[in-house]
This record gives sequence, structure tokens and C-alpha cells, in this order.
Amino acid sequence: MQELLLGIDICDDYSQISYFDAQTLSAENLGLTEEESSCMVPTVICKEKGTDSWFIGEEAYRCALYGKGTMVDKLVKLAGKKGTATIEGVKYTADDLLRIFVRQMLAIPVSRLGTDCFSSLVFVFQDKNSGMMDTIIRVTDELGIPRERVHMANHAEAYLFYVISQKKELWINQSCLFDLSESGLHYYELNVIRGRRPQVVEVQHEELEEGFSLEILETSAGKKLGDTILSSCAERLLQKKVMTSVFLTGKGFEDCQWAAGFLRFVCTKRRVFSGTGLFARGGAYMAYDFTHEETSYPYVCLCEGRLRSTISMQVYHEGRERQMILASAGSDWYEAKAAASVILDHTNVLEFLVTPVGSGRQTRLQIQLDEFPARPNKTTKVEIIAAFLSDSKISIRVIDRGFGEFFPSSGQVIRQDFQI
Amino acid sequence: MSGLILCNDTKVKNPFPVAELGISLYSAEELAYYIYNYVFLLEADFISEPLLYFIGTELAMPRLEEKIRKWAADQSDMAQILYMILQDIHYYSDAELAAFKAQLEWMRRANPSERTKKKADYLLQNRKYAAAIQLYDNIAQGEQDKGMTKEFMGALCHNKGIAWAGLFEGEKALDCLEKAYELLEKESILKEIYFLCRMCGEVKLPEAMKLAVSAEEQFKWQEEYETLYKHLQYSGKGRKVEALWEKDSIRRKEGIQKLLTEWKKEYREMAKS
Repeated sequence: MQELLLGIDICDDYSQISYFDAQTLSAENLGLTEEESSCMVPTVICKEKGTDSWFIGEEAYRCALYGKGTMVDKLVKLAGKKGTATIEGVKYTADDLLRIFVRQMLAIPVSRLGTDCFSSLVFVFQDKNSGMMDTIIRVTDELGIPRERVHMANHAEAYLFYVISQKKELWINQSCLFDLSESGLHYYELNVIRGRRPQVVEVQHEELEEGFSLEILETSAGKKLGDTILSSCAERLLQKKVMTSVFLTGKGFEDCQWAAGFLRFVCTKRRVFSGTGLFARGGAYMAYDFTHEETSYPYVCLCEGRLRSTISMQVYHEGRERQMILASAGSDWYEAKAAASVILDHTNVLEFLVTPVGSGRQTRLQIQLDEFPARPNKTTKVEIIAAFLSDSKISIRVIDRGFGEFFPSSGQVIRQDFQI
Repeated sequence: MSGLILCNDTKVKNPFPVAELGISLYSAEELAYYIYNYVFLLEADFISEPLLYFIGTELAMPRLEEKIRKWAADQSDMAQILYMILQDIHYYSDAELAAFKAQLEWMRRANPSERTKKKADYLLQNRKYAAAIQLYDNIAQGEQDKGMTKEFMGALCHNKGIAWAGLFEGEKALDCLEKAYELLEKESILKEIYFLCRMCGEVKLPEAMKLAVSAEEQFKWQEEYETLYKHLQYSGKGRKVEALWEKDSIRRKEGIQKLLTEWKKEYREMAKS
């Protein structure tokens, strides 16, 4: 039976699903129905009056249009501000609505591909925020999908994985992406940093101030203005850069005919690809990669949402001094967690080394353990639990575990957060 | 070596029981600690099937288990096997292992009564008073060997006295400490006798001692005893009792019940031979 390897991009305006086809080894977009060519599902939800039926996407619009229900849009923004919506006198939290929406989104691949075996899911957002991610985890828990099969990514990560899944000639130097949607104009630039082992691939993201509402593209004057804005952005951003490929995505680029001047400029000596669902596809490639014990991408991937430094500790293991890595540069901060137990030998301090990628300059973070009970040397075992609050903030908990029944644990915990 | 020793977080389902100490071992490091610090308690049957199962299966160290089996089959000395276990666990540094080796060497050379006394002293340190007294008696009643000097016997009586005091047997403790003083003539023992008599009201300070120690010295001891007594009232178990009086009557009753159960259990452990 086919297993579902999905990338699900959830944005405030549209959401998209892509699945990884294990036969062709490529990610394909998935429409709401077989007839529907577009994979873009408007991120709206509508409750049919007097029933318990909920609709999403086009159907939700249709239901609201014919006065059969109450529609709520901008679900991501609503969730971000922990908002609520009242439908037929019942107050729904954004979390409730998003859960219904995600459930229905997940029903699409089940009905289209005829299987409900979720092997690996990557949810993609413009930015990763813990509230949204917790909602997703709750939904997938409710659906009985094991937590280790559910992952989160932001647009920068999804773009990075999408590009590095293409032929290397497309990103050998630099590659960039313009994402034009209702939420704005976003520019992503991928650079391959040479001379390092493993090779470093970095994506920089910039939300351009020049972003405009897609409504202006409804008139010919607006189209011209849009083209001029984009052309000037491209000239500014791409000049003197060896850009091997340019990708265009988002609702704004669903039909590129209005941006003739811009296209003329970017197509000069560059390969240009335009299409929707790029982030969902990137997510699907990631989903496939998560099913392997060893990643197929032997790179350190740096971008928003990923750690730029390696966090390690010097420990003795089997009599030898070793560096124990708690989190590697390039790891997703949301998933980078580590736990280890150590015995204190003539020390009352835990020291963590922070090593940024490509820099020999290490910084040291220290946690004093004086609060723990005094015991003879080597009879205090501590459990260290490291988790990240963002890509630049680590939270470390140290728990006194004592030393078996010789010196029982006090259960004391020391927690410290560090900016890295 | 100083720093952090990385532990193997293997979850032990069946810990290894150590009857002498009334505890169980849950990790390789604890096993190393036990061997290192309580080597005098280890009998020849320590290298046993349960220990090998604990090492091989519970601690997931099958190679060490295999090695011990091989060494045991080759009729290796138990000391050698213990040393090898410590080496394999890597909990102790080379310097600490060298000290352990010296300890093993001392054990090899020491006569039986010295070895037994060392074991009894370990039990005493761990408040296994009755078991310690039994071993001290075994030595005293056993055949005299060259380890039984006046100093040795004095130390033995002294430690036995301390063990009796731990069991709140004031008269017996006094008897042993007096004998110890006769043999060793140390003033510190007189001080202990003084403290014992203060602690156990029914035990009277021997007349001879009253004469042997100046009034000034006895006055100093009295002050020291009172300071210590006050300190104990407000720390450790004393503090626990004190804290109970701050609770409401229901919780106090529950607390007293719990504390008494705890103390009874503790005393039973101390009195178990």
C-alpha cells in the first residue's frame, strides 16, 4: 500500500498539498479533486447553517456566497493573535477552526490517493510559531499519527529543500525565489558556501517593502505598475550576482503575463521556473527525507528556523575526552532537542560550547550547580535537557539525579535560557 | 581527570541488590562505586550469576560479562576480576585505580582478623551496628593471630562501643569504651565516654574517670556537648520533628506516624545482624 509523504503549506490566503511520488522520486501537487487542476485551496472555512458540516476552500466560498453558512478567513493570522470567531452564537477559537481546516486538508490526499497511511508529514508555514505548531500537533495526535512522523518547516527551509532536490546545475552558484502573494512580496536567496566540509547551503530571506496587493493586477495600469515594481526589485537584488536559476511562486505568479518586463530581465542568462506549490513540494521532499535514517542531503542547511551554531560539551566517555554534540548547526530549532546524563567530577559547573558555522570563535555558556546538595566527588549525576525556544535561544534544564540509593536525588532543577 | 563523565542511560529493570547496605544498584557507575568503596564487604561469592546477569543484561555490557566469565573460568583471583570490572566501567581515573590496587594488595597481605575488622568498620560506617558488633565479637572470640596487638584490640573495643551506642545500649557501650581506654589510653575516648553518659541519662560517669580528667576539661566537654545538642535539635532529624509542630493537628499526627515508621525501619536495619 502506498504511504503518504506529504508537504502541506498553510498560508493565510491559500494552502497547498504536495505528495512525494516514490516511483518517480519527485514531488507532485495535489488538487482538491481530480478534475481541479489548481492545487491552491483558499484558507477559509465555512459552517453550514443548522448543520454540523464544515467546508473549506472553494466550497466554503460557495456555501457563504449562497447564504448557506458563515465563513471565516485569514485563519493563520487569527491563530497568531489567538483570536476567536462567533458562528451561530457559538464562539470558536482560531485553534478550533484551524484544527477543522487541517483535518479537512488531510482528508484530501486520503481520498485522492486512496490511503490513510501517513508515513511522514511536513507542515510548512511562512514563519514557524509555536502556537501554530502546537495546534498541528494536536490535530495529528487526534488523527492518531505518531508524533515522530510530523515535522514543521518555514518557507525558507521548504524552498531550500525544494532547490537542493533539483539538478545541481540549477543551484551550483546562486538561486533565488520571488514569492508574491496577498501576504506580500518575499525574496529568498540561496547561496552555496564553498570550501567547507560538509558543504554549507544558506538561504537568506527578505520581505520586500515593495510588496503590493494582488488586487492592483486586475487593471492594466495596475499590471504595468506591478511589473515596474518587480523589475526594479529584480535589478536591485540580482545585479552582479551569478544567479543560476530564478523561481517564481505564489498567487501573483499563477499567470505571469502581466510581468513581461520583469520576466525579460530575469530570463537573461538565467533559467526561470514559475509555478505554484513550491513550498508544499519542498515540504514533500523533506517528508521523504525524514523517512530515511541518513539524510540524502549531505549539507549544513542554514536559514531562518535553523541553528547557525553547534552546541556541544566536553565529556569523558570510556576514559577518553570527547566532544558531545547536543545540537548541530543546520538543525531545525523546533526539533533540535537533546538529553544526556553526566557525573560531576571535581566540578560544579556545566560548560557548553557554541561554535558558529564557519567561525573558529567559540563562546562558552556556563551553568553553576552550587544549589545542588553537596556530596562526595563523583556522586552527583545530573540530567541535562536542552531544547530551543527559537533559532537563537536555547533553554537548558539540569536535574539533580543523585547517585542511586547511595545518595538519593534531591529532584532539584536549575533552568537557564541563553541567547546564542 | 576532572570534568564530566558521560553516563550510559540504560534503564535497569531489575537492580542488583546489596544486602549488606540494604540498597540496590542501578548503574555501572554505582557498581564501580560499590566495589571501590566497599571492597572489604565483598565475599568470594560476589562474582555470581546474578551479578553477571546484571552486568550483561541489565547494564547491557555483554562483553564485560563474557570477560568476567572467561577470567573466572581461568581461576583468576577475585581481586584481579574486580580491578578489571573497574577498568572497564571507566568511572575511576588511573590514579584512583592505582589506589584501589594498593588496597587490594593490602587485603592480600593482611591477616584474617585485620580483614574482618576492616569489614566490620565498613558496616559501622554504614550504621549496620548489629552486623558490625557480630564481626567484632567473631574476631575477639577467634584464634589470636599476629594482627591482634594491643592497639588493634583497643580499636576493636572502641568501635564496638560506638556500635552499641548507635543501638542506644548505653551500658554495653560504656563497658567497651572503658576497655578501649584501658588499652589505648586516649583522651578522645574519655570524651566519648563523657558524651555517652550525657546522652544516656541512666549511664553514670565512672568514678575513675571523674578523677582522671580535670574539672576544667570536663566543663569544656559539657559546653561542647550542649552546643552539639542544640545544633542537632535544629538540624537533620531534629528539624523534621520541629517542623511537625508547626503543622495543624491532623497533619502533625500523620507526620509523626510517618516519621516513626521511618525511624523504626531505620532502627531495624541498624539492629539487623
